[in-house]
Amino acid sequence: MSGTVRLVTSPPAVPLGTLLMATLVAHAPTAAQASEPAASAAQTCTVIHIEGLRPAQGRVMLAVYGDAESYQRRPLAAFSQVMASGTGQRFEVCGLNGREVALSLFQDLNANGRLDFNLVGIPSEPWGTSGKAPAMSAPTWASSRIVLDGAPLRIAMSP
Amino acid sequence: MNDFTHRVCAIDPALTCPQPSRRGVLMALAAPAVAALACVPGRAAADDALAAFDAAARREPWLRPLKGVSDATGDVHTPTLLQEGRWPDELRGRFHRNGPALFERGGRRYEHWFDGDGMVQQFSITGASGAPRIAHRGRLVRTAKLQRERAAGRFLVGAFGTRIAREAGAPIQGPDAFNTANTNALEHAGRVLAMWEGGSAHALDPSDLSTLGPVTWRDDLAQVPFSAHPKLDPHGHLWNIGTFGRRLVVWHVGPDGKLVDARVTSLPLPGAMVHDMAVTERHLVVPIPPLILDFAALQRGVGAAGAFRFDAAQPLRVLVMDKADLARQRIFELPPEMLFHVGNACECADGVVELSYVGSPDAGFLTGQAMAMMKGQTAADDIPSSLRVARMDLRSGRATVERFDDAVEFPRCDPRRVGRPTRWLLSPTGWRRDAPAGFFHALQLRDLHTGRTQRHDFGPGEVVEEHVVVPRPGREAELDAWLLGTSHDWRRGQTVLNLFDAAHLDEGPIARAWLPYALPYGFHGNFTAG
Repeated sequence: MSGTVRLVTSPPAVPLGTLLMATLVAHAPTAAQASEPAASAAQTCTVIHIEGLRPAQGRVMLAVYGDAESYQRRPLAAFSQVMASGTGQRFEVCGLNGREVALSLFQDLNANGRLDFNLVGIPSEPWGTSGKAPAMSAPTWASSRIVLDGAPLRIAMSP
Repeated sequence: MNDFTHRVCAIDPALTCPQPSRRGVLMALAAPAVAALACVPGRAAADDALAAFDAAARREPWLRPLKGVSDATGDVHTPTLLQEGRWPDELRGRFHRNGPALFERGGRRYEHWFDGDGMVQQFSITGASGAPRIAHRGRLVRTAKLQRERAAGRFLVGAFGTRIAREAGAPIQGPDAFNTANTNALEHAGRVLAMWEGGSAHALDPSDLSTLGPVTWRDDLAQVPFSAHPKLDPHGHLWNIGTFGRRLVVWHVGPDGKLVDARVTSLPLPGAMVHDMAVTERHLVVPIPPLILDFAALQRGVGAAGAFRFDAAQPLRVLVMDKADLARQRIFELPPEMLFHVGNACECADGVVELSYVGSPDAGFLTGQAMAMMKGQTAADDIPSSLRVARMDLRSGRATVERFDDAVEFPRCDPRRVGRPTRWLLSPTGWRRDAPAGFFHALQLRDLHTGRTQRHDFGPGEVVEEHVVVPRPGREAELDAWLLGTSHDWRRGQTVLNLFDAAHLDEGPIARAWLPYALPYGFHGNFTAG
């Protein structure tokens, strides 16, 4: 584990591209917004353990959405982290406890700032989501939404 | 015929193993694979389907290959098979077959024949001259699915016809998460391709069948479906398709095994199951039966086999595309039929594309019989599929279909004539009432010029699998060839490799080689000389 990133809720500073695909969708900002903000002591945080990452390849991209309407369009917060040598990353999402959110992730292996797809629209980079991912279709707000309650979360990336 | 007896309780760990004869023990010592296959300690059936099948297989021995292998019995090697007859000096090479083989894990039995994890069989025929050495090696393909499920001790992902509840955890990266690599095996450019319909081909080392991994022909082609029925043209070029929703991928691989190109066009019937294709000198010929995946049913958790709907109101479409320009297309509409396999295609007359195929009135085998047999239930009906030849006029758009009255599947032609005019088609067939219902017991060569057939009846005691045409080296005539394939002698509980003179099929096999065990029933294979 490495790279704890503390995040306070704020809109991303960069516009988000819409990533379209036939069956599976993950979405994250096109540029890093990793930060070490000075979260106030009053803020409550949820620890997110990301597992199954490929060591030392590219960046982990994560976006947090707040409702169905904005899902995969306008995240509440988004950031990225350069991958270290391990297969895990630890993030903290602060200031959203008690809210219903959906988390969407991918590992940008080639650091081109976007999730890549193969010729027929299947992601060719690892991705992950909160909730339970559908077997062979895109995650939705309904499949992804969870309530952050301060208990640690584990999210496994696709192999 | 050979007369040895030995311990063949084989691949069914739940069945009682008979005590071996002295000769059987010697045979087992000579062939470690026998010991590997025989008599794994039994365990109680964990569900009704498993118990029902085991009970049926005790009564009806021809079902036993559908018991399948386990991780422990899925890798076998017999260096010397017992031969009879005379194997020709000129016949040297490797015959690979593939099929679903591992059906049970953690007390759960798959519900559809197509579900099993793939096991590639290799029959190698070697030796400078005189009687060859014929060896058998079989190995489960080490797909990511197999390895994950082996480690977990249970099935983790849904199969074609079996719903497996998926636990929360890592999402699916793509179709290779389900890839069983179980449908066809073809040696090409120095590696054996184990193929499945919905994802990557897996490469195997022909020297020992070890799995090299899924084939990614180009970075942006990872997990793009590379279907199980590529056509190897006489120039060594490999043509294939893959379907994904509304998309139809056309693959072209050169004789050196390197990708020439992969192009995408639209599938005329989105969601249709497209299992096979044909080539001609100029065209790709893609039959599209009206068997459509109901995505809503799939989302509700129905297994894929249960989510397919055969729409008899829709035609059997045949998409004919120019190899050089996929936009140059013509779609022919033939009478509604289910189609799994083609025989061959050609530009057989000016502007006319001829396609031979096996058609059936509906998809009852896929959605019914292939599930019933996994429960040990006997087929209720005769084999419903028979040979057709469609002649499609590219100028007028009109098509005619000639229908033959037979019961066949797994049609094969002379590999020197793939994409060219073919007179003879080879296929297993059946007609006997005293043979196991739903299984083939004979082999047939159909003369498409006269309509006449040559046949060999193995009798009710053998189940006949796909055979392939193997040209005699240096010869050109279509029947200057051998016919090579496997059958299951269910009375002995052994799989047999058969060789026929194509010109005299009706005289029976000229040579046979006996495995000291029974293999799971397979789907398709190919011979590579050398």
